[in-house]
Amino acid sequence: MHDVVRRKLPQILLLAQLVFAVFSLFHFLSYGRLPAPFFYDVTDSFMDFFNTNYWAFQSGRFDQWRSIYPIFSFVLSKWVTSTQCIEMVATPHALRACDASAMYYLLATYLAGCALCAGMLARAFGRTTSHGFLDACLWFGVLALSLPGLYALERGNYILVAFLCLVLARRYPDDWRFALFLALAINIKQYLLVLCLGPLLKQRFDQLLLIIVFSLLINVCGLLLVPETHYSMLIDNMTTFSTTVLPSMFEKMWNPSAVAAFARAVEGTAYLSSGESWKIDGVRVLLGGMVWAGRGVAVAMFFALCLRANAVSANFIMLAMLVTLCAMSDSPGGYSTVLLFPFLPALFERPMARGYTLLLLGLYMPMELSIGPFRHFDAMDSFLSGSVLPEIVLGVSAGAYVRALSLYSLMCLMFCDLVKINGKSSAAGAPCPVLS
Amino acid sequence: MEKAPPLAPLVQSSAETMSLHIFVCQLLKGKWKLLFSTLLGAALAFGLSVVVTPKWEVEAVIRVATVLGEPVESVQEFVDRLRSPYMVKSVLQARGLPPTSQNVKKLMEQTRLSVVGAGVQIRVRADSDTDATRLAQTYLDLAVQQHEQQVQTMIEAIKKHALLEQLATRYSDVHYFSDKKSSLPDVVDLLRSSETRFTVPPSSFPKPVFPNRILFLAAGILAGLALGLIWVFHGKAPTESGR
Repeated sequence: MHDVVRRKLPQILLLAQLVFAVFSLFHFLSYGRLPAPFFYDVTDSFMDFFNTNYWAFQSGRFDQWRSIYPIFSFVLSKWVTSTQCIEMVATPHALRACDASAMYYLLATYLAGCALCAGMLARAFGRTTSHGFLDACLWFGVLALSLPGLYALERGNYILVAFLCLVLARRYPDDWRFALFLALAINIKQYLLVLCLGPLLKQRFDQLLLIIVFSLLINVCGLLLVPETHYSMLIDNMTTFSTTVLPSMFEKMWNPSAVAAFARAVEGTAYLSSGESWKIDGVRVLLGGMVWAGRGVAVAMFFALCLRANAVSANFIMLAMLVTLCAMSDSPGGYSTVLLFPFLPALFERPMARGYTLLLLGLYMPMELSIGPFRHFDAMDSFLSGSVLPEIVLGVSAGAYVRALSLYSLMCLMFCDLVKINGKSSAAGAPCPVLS
Repeated sequence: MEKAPPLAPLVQSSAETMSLHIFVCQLLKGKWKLLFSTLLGAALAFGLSVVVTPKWEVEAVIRVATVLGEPVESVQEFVDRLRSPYMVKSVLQARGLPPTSQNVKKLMEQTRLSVVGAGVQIRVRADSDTDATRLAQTYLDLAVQQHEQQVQTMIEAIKKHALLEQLATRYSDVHYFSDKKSSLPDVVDLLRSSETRFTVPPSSFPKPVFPNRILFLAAGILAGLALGLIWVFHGKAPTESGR
């Protein structure tokens, strides 16, 4: 059974995603809105994109709008925004209405990233098969229809540009272009800085230095192209964003990547107070315990990577750091798992590939059946369909829970893999690079 | 000077890494290339910063007109008004410039607005400090015109809704008005405490704000350094078997 899943992973995923895509289409045509998890606040469709685009032309992006995006995001925004529209609008929503076609840039970026990544995945996964092109097409379908990618599109998040940059960085692993594209990705999503651990632990100091220089250069050029006097507020905005009081538990749980998001969501929420107290305490203790155990695994994984970096590939190191980041931080949304795609080939070459495959199935399988908690939504206008939506009650889907648990399990399995490697290396008397 | 050892795969029988020692040696070996490219980048950037047209900036703070102590619009609304394309086009027209897409976009980019207490800080850039001051003044003039209309409308509304009586009661013990026996419309006019005005008049920075020589130099140095690093390491970096 496991072998079937392993060999047929792209087929299974694609089939499930096609079913979900057809269901979504019918849902849209019938109700004027996409099903969960896409629908959350339709007045907010694509607004990660258009808010950034609007503020690229305005002052106060860091002191007034409190942006957590680095300056390079605004450079990209300036390139993709219609000048005719920006001179006619006074709000980001008006810009969305005027310049909706700008979303095609993001869509094209996503599809280009999927196409390039599909080739890499097909090569890595298809070592046991001989249908290279067919495999690539299958993987393209899997990636293009994947929920994290589509959700990022619905939000209009620039994470999709970071995804393309990571794919391009992976295409040139031993080249200066690796450093350039990684620096570009870091300048879109600054938490990708953790990927520098790959070249550092592999002792590729030349690449590491280039990444630092390119990152600084991109920042300086960004400041030349988008003059900004309050850029230093970026750090303050980031810390405020991550520590701020939650406006809504529901928002945090809607499509998370981490168990930590659930743990934070249930802290002090009124929703659970209606249940029995021992059950509430049980949920809190369970989630809190999982978070603390996960933190322990994350720290141990970091040391294990440092100890046995020579036994794993740079891709594995970078994937381990990304998985740890996504699994332990409640700030990035569920769409951040799209960033794992370019590094997944590192898992297929491991002895534990079977276990990884099963977890990837859980991570990318669309299982969007609302199981709660539920929330009431007032009537609102849909940007996508243009129709007025009636009042509805929507719930968090099963997929939200499964994805968070799968990612958590993936982190634990990668740690077990490292422990196993360490055991074998120690038995063989292999030196430890950090200690030697 | 001792010759640096050649770059070669090192460390734990792996062909994929570069020890710190070799990395430093390689850097030292290529120091002249690095220095040359960095200096070249810095020189080019400096040259560019000399060639480009400088931009001057003036800064001023505008306070919104008030009626009976209340502003005619909130500070945020005023910022949005100043930021609106209509206002930008009006400023261009008032300055005798055609409101083309390019001019509108340019002025929008060169005008920065932020809320400062009860006022709005406006910073305008132009090719000279005189032009920048005139632009800031034009923004104010247009805002005054628009607020004047709003003030009149508000006063009319107050009169129409018989709020004057309440006002008279409220201020009946004020000697100034009772002594003067002013008519109520006059009272309203007097209580219109202020019109839209500069609380901090436009003042320019002593030096042009663009080009920022430090940023230009930083960009040139970093670009030169990046090219130098590629020059030194490109084609010589060891391949990684694990990838």
